[in-house]
Amino acid sequence: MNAYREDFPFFKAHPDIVYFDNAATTQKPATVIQALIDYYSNDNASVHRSTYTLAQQATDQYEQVRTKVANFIGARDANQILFTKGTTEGLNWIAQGVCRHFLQPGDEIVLSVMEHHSNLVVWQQLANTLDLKLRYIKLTDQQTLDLADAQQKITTKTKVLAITGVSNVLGSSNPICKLSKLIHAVNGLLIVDGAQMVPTMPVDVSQLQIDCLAFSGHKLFGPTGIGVLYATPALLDVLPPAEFGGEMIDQVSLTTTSFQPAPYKFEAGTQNVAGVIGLGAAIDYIQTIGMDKIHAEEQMLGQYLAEQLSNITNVSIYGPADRDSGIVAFNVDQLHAHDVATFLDSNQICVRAGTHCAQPLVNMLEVNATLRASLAFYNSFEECDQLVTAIKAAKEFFSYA
Amino acid sequence: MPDLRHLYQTIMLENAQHPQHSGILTGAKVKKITVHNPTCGDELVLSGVIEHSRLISIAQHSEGCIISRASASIMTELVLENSLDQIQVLAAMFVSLINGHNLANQELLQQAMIFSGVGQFPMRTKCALLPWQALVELVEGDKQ
Repeated sequence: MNAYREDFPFFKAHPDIVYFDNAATTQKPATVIQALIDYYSNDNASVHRSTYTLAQQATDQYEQVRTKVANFIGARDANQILFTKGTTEGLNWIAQGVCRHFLQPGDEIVLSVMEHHSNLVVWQQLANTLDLKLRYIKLTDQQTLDLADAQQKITTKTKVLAITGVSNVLGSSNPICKLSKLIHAVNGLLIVDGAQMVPTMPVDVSQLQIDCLAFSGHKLFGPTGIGVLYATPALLDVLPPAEFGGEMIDQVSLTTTSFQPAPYKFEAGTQNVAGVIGLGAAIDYIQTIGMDKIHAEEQMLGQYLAEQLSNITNVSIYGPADRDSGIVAFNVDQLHAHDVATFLDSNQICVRAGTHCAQPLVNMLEVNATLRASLAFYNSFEECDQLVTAIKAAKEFFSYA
Repeated sequence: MPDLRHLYQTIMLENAQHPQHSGILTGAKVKKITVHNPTCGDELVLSGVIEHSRLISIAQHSEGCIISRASASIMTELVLENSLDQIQVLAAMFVSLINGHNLANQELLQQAMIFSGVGQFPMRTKCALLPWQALVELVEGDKQ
């Protein structure tokens, strides 16, 4: 068994469970859980508003995490880090802001066909309302992003390229560095959905010249309800707040309001302070392992699982042959993903079944649904073998009729 | 975890493999309802002909899991040639069954009683209910 499991109370509570749904949400190390307990037990006070010592300490803790996140993703300045509820909120804010304030009717937004609904529906709805044009980068026959098609689709009309770093279905990573050059050559913005990428590989927004990056805490071994939106100062200075309320203002009269500078103008109302502190603890934890190591381990697990599954007759694996993450989507011929998932559940194996909030992509794979095992560094080769054995048993079970 | 054999009974597997009343009806009098389960991408097309408040013809085209395919198959066989009033009673009974309630006249559901185990798998109740949801939509509006 994997030594990292010791750090996670969940695995002590469920020693026999094979948890393969990490792309949906990850388990939390004891240090994250303890940070939440400590905060609520000892340090709970209002952030930014109150003047007493305890409030100052809470504010300090909160702001230290902003710096921690900035360092973690290679941002130049902590003020480029906004706290959100999660990836979805971050992408919604940025899409609304960019489309309503920078784009003109007829401008083009380029997405890929592998986007999660959270990086697709918002652009689609805004495009419909504001008369913008959406273009989608296709997949190659190997089910990777078609770079040649990206070169065709990204033109001088393109104002935004919004794309996922790692597909939550195919498990493949997209060449953000190359895409960054393509979109910046036409002076467009690069917006990256980091929900799957940030938890599985090192990401440096400055090096990759990412203009906006959104990700979630709960997929990064942190608490639910907290996320991050990174954006360049050029955007943050110009974009108006997405919400209005307490603490985000500078001066308010009965008829006018001026706002604080970023990031505060985007953080209206009392924030998820405990979530921020938990996120900080999660980053501390994963840095004790290192993102390079996490990436190497998850890649190895994904590769092993995909190979073992492909050895079973009539199992189809989606995504490229060379795995780049622990995400492996697959189907068992003739069996519906939900029936197999129920069978696996009865064998204490947790996988996802369905369309994974990526209906256009799953339709493109010409199936109604897929199974998806998504592994994290705390999973093991033995667990992969358990899944393989259970898939064989499922084939047996459902064939008895 | 309850026994899977209780959930996936032989009759269910047989109906999923060899569904009854399979297809899509055509013609001027045919009413057609398409329903989806967004989490799993399943789709069901239910087509029927209603005359004098009675379902005189029905067909189902189901792309989905064993539970939803079998439910569609068994439901169509059960409700064919029933009055719309009877159909509404059966639909309400089936919902109660899935929700784990004890039914007074359970023999009315005939083979559909095999879905009594689905309630123990809350994540799968939608699959069993999907065809019935389509059926209720199909008969609604035609009922005076």
